[in-house]
Amino acid sequence: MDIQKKYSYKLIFIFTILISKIGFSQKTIVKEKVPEDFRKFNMENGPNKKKYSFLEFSVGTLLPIFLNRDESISIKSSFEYQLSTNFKRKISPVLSITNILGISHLRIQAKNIYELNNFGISSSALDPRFRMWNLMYLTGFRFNIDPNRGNQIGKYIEMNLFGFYTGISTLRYEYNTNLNDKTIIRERNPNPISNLHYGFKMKLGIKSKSIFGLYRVSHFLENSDIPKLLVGFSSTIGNKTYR
Amino acid sequence: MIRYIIILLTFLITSYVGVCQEKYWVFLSDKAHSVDDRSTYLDSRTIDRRIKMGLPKYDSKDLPISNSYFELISQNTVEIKGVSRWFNAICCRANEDQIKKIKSFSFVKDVKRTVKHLNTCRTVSEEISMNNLMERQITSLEGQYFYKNNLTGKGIRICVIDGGFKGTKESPALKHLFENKQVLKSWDFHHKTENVYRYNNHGTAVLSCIAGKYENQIMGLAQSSEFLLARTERVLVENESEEELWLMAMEWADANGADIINTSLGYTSDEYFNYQMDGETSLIARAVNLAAKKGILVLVSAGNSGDDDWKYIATPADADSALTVGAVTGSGLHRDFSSFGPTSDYRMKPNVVAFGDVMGATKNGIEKAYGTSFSCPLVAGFAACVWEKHPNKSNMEIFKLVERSGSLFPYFDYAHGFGIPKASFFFKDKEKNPTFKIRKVKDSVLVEILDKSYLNTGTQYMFMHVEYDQFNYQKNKRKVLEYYETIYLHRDIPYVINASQYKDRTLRFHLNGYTEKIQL
Repeated sequence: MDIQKKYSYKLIFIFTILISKIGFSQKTIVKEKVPEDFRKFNMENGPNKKKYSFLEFSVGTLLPIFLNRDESISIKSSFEYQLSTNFKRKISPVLSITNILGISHLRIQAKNIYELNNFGISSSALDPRFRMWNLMYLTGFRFNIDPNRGNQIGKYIEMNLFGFYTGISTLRYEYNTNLNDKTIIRERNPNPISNLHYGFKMKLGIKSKSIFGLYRVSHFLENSDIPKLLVGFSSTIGNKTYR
Repeated sequence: MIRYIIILLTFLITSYVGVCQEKYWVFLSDKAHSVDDRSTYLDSRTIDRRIKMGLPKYDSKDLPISNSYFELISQNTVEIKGVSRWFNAICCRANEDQIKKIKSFSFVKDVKRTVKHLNTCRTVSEEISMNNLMERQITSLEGQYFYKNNLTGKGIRICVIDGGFKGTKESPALKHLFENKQVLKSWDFHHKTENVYRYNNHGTAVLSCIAGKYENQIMGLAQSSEFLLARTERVLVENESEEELWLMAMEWADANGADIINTSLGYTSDEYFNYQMDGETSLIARAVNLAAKKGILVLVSAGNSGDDDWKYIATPADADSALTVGAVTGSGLHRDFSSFGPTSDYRMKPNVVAFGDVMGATKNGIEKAYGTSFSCPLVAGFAACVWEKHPNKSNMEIFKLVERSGSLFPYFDYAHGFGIPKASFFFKDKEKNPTFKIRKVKDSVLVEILDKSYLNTGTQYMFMHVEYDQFNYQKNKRKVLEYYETIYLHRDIPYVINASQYKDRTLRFHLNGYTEKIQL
């Protein structure tokens, strides 16, 4: 083989390699590497991995019971909706640290306007309702009750401290006019509503579903206050692990 | 403050009560004084099957559990849920004190908590008219070869274990089974009744993929087989099932002479970790192996976790003797939801694949369904026809034949197994003309495609896996795959691989019925 021919073969070969590597190659459509260790795989995948995050939606209702003297305002059905991203960091199979970031919307219906002295509303006002849009942060611990039972969230108890910052709050109430009509008044960020709330939340869960109790230690209002105990239900969103 | 915490705790704990009660399997040490009822318990068909396969007519596992032991256990439980002759065990609900006492009995060998939750397979989806799909679910298996040769699963008894057969009796796609009295027995293991035709129609669609026929178009290949229907799952009610019922259904199927068991279920993360999918950890995987020893061919769907965190096969699909069936698309490629193999001890799974999108029967007609739940019964019907053709073969010989008939055989990977079983395998010798040529050039491997038909059709897929026989994962010495891929051929150029990254490995390629390997 003469030198020229030898080099031309090499060139063709190099050219073929280059062509196939830069976008003109056949297309690989399924590509799977087999795990070297399935135990390790379980540490890196699923709810039992070291760092696990998931979306969660919660809905709760304020219980119309007074646990404290300053909770004097009686309420009708009042709900809080929460949407959060939950970060779970596993310390041991039993214990995890939780960090939760989210938003919440609290809607409170007061029964009686006379109790709302702080707002200086006329006694003829009707159906007062508060709305609060909050940013929330919770941190605490999660205790896994059955740590060795499957790669799942399992049964757990979670205890968190929380801080809510109320970005926007409104107070809405109505007056009956002489023409048998109603005038609706909305006040934005009324003064007596606190911007910062804190307290603790406890949750008991089985896999994607959980029930919780939340108690606000801080006050909603300055003097008199609204019942602070909220209980509700949570569910993870869009988590394929639980289908 | 303490008062509030107590209130919250009370609220949470009272909500929790009732969830804590547990179920257990109590394994007994022997079958002392058990009454030998084997001649009446086992169907004559079961005896015939065992004799045909050279197995003993009866064995000690067929004996019932000891009455005296049963009495003692039942006196110390809240409720007896069932018994297993095969495992000489009693399933019961009990509190911790009772379990402590049960453990103290000298005849109790072991006590284990049972599995509770089921990862159900996907069920029926939107209703669309797709006669083409119905036809393709049969032609993909080349079922016409069986049909032309009058192989319709005659003489084969198939047990379908599922979550309910609502609408089966009324379904126009299944009415012929009842008209011809092909459904011999049924049993609802939840309600202890023969009425399995309620609650959920998942089993209806599954049954139709074995033996359905709609407007003269067959939906499954085992048109003449006999059927036993067992309901063990509660799919819609609470997405929960019990492993023990499934085990009891297996024993029931054996006692009633089943040759094939089709089961479209799998247990995953609710109870297990991936590393436990070794065919030994779960009781039902062991039960599958036991059923195989008794001459039954057990088909299990691989599971629908391919696109979620779990990803790999479920149990009992991990059992060594389970013919595990995955799902593929119309192009014969891995369907995204179909669970991948291997088992955690690196045995090959799935064994074969079939269409994951099918037309399944409903009460009033047919509708589209998808999931490995439905690819599994397609292969069950196929296996029944193979068995009819080879009546003297054992269950494991049929298992091997079904594998060998796979479209990719002898190539395999953990997404496609040996490919889609093809009926033509049993009727004509396949010509295996080379469709490609492998050359090693310096540090590269060149695969030159000889079969250029893909340039016209536009659809040609080549499969490649990397086998390593010194695979040392968990001290495992068997030959296993380290990596595999599917390549879409769309250009008139060779496929090139950097050989240096696969040192000491075997590369195996498959294209259009031809397989070749190269050792690096």
